[in-house]
Amino acid sequence: MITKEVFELQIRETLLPALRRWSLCQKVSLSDDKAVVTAVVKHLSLPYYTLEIQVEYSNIYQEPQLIFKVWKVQVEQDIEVKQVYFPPDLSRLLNLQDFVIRLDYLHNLNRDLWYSVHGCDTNSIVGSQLEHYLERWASIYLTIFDPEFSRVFID
Amino acid sequence: MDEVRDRVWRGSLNVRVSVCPELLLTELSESQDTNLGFVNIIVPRDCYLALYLPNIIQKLESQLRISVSDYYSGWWFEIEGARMPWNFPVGALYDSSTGLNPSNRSSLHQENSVHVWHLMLRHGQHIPNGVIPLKNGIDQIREFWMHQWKQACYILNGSAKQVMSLSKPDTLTFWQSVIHRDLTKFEPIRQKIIPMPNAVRFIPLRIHVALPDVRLVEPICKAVDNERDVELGDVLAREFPEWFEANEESSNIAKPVIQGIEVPLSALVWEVYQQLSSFDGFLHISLCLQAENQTV
Repeated sequence: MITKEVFELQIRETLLPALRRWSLCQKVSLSDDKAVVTAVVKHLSLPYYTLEIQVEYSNIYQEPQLIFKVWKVQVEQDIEVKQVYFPPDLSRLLNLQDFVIRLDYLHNLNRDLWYSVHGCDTNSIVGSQLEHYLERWASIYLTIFDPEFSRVFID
Repeated sequence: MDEVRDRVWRGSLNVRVSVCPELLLTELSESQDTNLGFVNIIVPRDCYLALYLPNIIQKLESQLRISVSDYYSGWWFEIEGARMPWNFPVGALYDSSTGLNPSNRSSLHQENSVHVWHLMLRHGQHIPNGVIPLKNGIDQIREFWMHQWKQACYILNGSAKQVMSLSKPDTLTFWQSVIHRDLTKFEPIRQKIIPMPNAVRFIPLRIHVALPDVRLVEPICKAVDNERDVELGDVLAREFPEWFEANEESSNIAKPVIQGIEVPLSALVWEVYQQLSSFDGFLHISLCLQAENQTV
């Protein structure tokens, strides 16, 4: 578990710089209240897909909450259109491993639908030590999008 | 069994579900027969309306211009043009979306009439924002519901272990008790998840607000704070200071309604949770705004 204050501090000091170093990351931003990070990320190998990833603080779990959307560029009447895409089999697109991922997150901002990575066992996966908490968390959870994500903390 | 739990479990709504005109056979949509294109049902307040989709669609199927291949996928409900999510207890959605005070609502009832909630059934490839698409029928609803219990369990106990370690027969019975509306089977399993009062970490609350925008608030709420039992008014004054003033019930411009019941702000949250929490493990509070002439 992580407190909101430590989470927000580690977002600024650890997660944001790491996302900026990530070769797949096209764009990263921090919300005005400094509590939500949004990143737009290229798919590892499929050029027509991008991922919109959001990390925020879950008051319920007192853990980082990871949600994401898949965007796909499709050609419609000779025009390239980028649309939210719900693949029939997400495991063919992402490195899901044993994470519990559901299409059930209605964003409080405009009630749009996101995939959520459930955080019930975050504590047992990440450990309880607060120092470098978000670094450990990101090294594990962001492998969903890039199996080698943790390299951003080494390189 | 506790009488309040029993009455809450048996609470129901009268619902008229009309089919959106574009889905009706042409001859029916142009027909003057007012008995076509809708179905009246009574649904338990404490359930997901989506569970009744097959029942509703089967009754209307012969009047539809589309051939129905799936009773869940592609369907959703609307209320007065606004999409209605299926993933909350229907009673909580009714209380927040109609915004009617229970006391006024009862005055609408007359000897020869009943209050009916009007919904519209729609179908399409593109499900609107705010509605979780149903791709896997009743199994998806069951999994979603079970996940709500894991969340509630985590909030209550600091771990989802009590739900995860339910035996297979218990897990099955738990769901079947919801489907068959059997409180005698539901309650013993629920009690395995709910901690003793002195072990409650936080209380799973969801506050539904329909005005000025539809939103859901999930506050952190302890049962006891600073050696004092937390009251409903404490939570609402903290989360909605513009609507509620702690300890000044008379000047509030909104009322908390739970399971169709107006609950006093002085009620202890943990006691209210035990009596009025929903079949998904959360206490759903709908905020109803009072008209100016209703505030004292």
